[in-house]
Amino acid sequence: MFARARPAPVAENDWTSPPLTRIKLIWALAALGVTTLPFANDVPGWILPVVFTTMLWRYVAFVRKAKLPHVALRWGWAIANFAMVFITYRTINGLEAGTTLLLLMSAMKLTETARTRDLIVVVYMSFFNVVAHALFDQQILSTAYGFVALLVVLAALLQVSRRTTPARPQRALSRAGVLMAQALPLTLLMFVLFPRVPGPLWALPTSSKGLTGLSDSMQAGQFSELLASSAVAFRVEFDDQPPPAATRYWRGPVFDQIKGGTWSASHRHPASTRLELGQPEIRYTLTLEPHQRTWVFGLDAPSESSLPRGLNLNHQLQLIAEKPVKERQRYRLRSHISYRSAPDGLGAMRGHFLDTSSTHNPLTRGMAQELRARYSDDLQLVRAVLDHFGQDPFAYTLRPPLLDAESTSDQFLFETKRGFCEHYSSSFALLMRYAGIPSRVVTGYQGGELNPISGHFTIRQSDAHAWTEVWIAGRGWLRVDPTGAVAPERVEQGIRGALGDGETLAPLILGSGPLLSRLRFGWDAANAAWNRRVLAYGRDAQRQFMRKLGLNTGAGTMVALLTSAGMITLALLAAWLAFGARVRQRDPLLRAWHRFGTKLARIDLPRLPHEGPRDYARRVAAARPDLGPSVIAIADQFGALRYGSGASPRRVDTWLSAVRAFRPK
Amino acid sequence: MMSPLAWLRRKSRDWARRRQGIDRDEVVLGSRRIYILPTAQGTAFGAMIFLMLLGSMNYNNSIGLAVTFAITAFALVVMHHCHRNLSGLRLTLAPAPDTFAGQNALFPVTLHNTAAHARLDLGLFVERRLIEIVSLDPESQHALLVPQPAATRGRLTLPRMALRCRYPAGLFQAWAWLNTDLECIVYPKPAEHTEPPPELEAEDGSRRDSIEGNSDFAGLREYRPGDPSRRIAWKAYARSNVLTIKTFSGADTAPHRLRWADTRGDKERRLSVLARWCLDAHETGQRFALELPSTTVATGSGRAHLNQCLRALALHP
Repeated sequence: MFARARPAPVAENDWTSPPLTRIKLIWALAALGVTTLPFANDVPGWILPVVFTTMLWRYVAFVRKAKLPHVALRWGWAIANFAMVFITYRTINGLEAGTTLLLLMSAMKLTETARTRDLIVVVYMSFFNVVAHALFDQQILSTAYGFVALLVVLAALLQVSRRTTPARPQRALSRAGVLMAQALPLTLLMFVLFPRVPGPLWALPTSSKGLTGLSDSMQAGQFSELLASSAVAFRVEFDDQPPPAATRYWRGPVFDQIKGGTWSASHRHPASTRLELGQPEIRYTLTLEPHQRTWVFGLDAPSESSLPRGLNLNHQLQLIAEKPVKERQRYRLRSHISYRSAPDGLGAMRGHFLDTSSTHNPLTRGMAQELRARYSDDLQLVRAVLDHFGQDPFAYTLRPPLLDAESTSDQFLFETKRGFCEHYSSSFALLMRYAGIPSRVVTGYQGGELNPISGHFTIRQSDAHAWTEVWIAGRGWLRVDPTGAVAPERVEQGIRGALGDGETLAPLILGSGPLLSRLRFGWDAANAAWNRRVLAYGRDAQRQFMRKLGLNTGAGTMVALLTSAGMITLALLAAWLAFGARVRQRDPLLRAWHRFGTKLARIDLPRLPHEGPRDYARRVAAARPDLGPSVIAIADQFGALRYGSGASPRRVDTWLSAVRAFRPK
Repeated sequence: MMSPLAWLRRKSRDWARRRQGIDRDEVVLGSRRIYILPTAQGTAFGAMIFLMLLGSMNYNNSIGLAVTFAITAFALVVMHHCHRNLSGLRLTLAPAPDTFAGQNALFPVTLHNTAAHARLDLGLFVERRLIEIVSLDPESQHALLVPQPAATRGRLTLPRMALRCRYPAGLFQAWAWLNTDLECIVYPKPAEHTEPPPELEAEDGSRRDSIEGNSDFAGLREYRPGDPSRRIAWKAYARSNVLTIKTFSGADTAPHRLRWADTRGDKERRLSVLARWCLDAHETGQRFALELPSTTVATGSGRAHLNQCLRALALHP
């Protein structure tokens, strides 16, 4: 009775909590490491070293069989972490502070990984890291990395959950890959059909991260950082022919008051402003990158009647969103590039647009008075100033000399004479006011780059621009771009055309060579499509999709559709798995023999697992004497063909057709 | 008073037993008898998914949602894999060979994987006791012995067995119950210190040890449980590390009658003593008969005869 070896004894808790092994620890650490790495730019610099040092320590401690730290020490460590996060962020709430805390907690968890269950917690925290990082960055490359990291985390989950020795690394990864691939149809279904909610479930904490973009006031020299940035401000798709570059002015903040050298927006507004819109109407879709501000960059004069919900147009033709733009937004807009704004007069606001009371630029004032004396017609005066900018050695440069905050215009117009749009527009508008012409400064973007692959325009921060508007009797507000007088290329060809020798922008903007620019446009097109199709897939896009399918757009319909389609997908998967489990019999002889058994099973004479061909045939013959001869012949021949030596192809064929012809009833 | 959990456990066991019937010889685990539920780890996974969903929805973050959905779909796919890990598994069961009280009854169970995929981390349980964790390659089989402690003589029935698996991700546990009526006959534990049967003393008045001296040494054979320790060939053991037993051809001695009436003590003690006498008589090659109040085994010899006698002792009412 002791002849056979007894099975190796297995500890009881091997099942609910299998032992922690080195391989499992390595996998959990890999999952944590691979998901912590991308936070390098998003959290304070000391976080990642802390996490990775703890990981290294945990591994060494395991190998050396060192004791884990005492409870008191762990608590002290935890409290220190909370304190550090609070000192850094003044809160432990919010995206950045919350993520920092998550990363530190995963490091803390490592100090008490004594059992496999603790490793599972570490793996689960790695899952959280993947989602948390998506909140920081959803761009293509980052997302691709996120899914690769997810694969590693899933493989770690498989490995740590094993009850026996974990698989080899490549095996675990491929296993996780197969499971992910099988989960893909269901993932897509859920992504498309899971009902989206319109807004945040609770208030979003504002990000403390500075975003580049226009600001709510303008001082000479402020733009230079912006102009060097290749970050995308927004993208535009025109429904029809795009308007020419020289007319593509995207209006942002409009500044109607100047104090010292600083232009800013007042909150004064007239009772009403008449706006006459001319043809053609330009229809377009604008995809705005989040900038934490309320302004939206419409092309010239947006028509008020077509504004989407949540957007308003103010009297200075500026589009204002009701809430700050904190996530990428898409707007359907209509604009007019031929229009007349306030042609009948400014009324009580006229004095406001002429106000120079808190400026001190005597030279500029003198020049204005001189010009006023020479030209009685406002338009002639404007033209004379622009001519002056074009003739005198004024130059366009991104590296202008620094100017005083007080008498900026005097310095610029009479001494340095070198600057970019800000300098020109600011000085020009002030000059106009001194000359008694109402004026204001408009900031925004000008031009934009056509992507020949997708046909959309990309407007980057480097396209930021400032121009002026003057009010001319009978004509209304008229755009005057003094920069155009100095560097017409800036308006017609974009910023690259206007740069002097030796001046460069960020490398991404500067396309050189056909291949590089093709790559650049391809990448930009991919990003635009990614933003539009994937990232902007929210409630509206979802409803549009449902409408396209001819379905009700209610959440109930979506849930019903998702549930039924999901169940069908899973049923198909189960069927496919069952099909895959079948051993495919390569040998045609054996396959036919099994078919023979199946045929007999239909008349309740299945072959028993232990029965050989001969015994089976005898049993069938005994039960059904009418089938006896043919069954015995087939069985005997099968034995001869399979185990005998004379299996010629012809004899096999004859036997196969005999099995095919055999139809018991 | 039974705890609610234990009560539920018993109810579900009875239900499954009624539903599935008794398993004999061969069992193929079909979908009808495979149950599956999330584990604690799986429940935590679900809670994690819920938190991720809340976070991603709050930030209207498409990629966060995509990752959450991918993980959810992964869990559902894993559920099917977990089920498939058991589904279609074939088991062959057999009664355990007879054993002595105090030892383990060993029930042979063979797991046959006829599928084209591997089946990993299958836990074989007797009730809640883990016996072995088995992994099967595609189209392979694994034989094992399920030990069940045999405390008392009589018929031992193997309690309900279960095959459980949490593969591949530990999120779900699939399991199947095996309600067998497999039995093992448990012989009484042979008494260790006992007087020899009275017939021996009556015939030549000498001690048992001398009988061995008078008998012819017949050779060595492998040790079997129940063999008297004093006949172990220790010198041979020291040489080969294999326990062997010295056997003697004692055909010259007259047949014995091993009688209930000649033993003393309570019933179990008497059966123990009789078991020892049977074994000793068999070892010395004696022909012997067994007389119990309920039944009598006629004189005979050999292994089959011994087993017949021991069974009579095991099943003595």
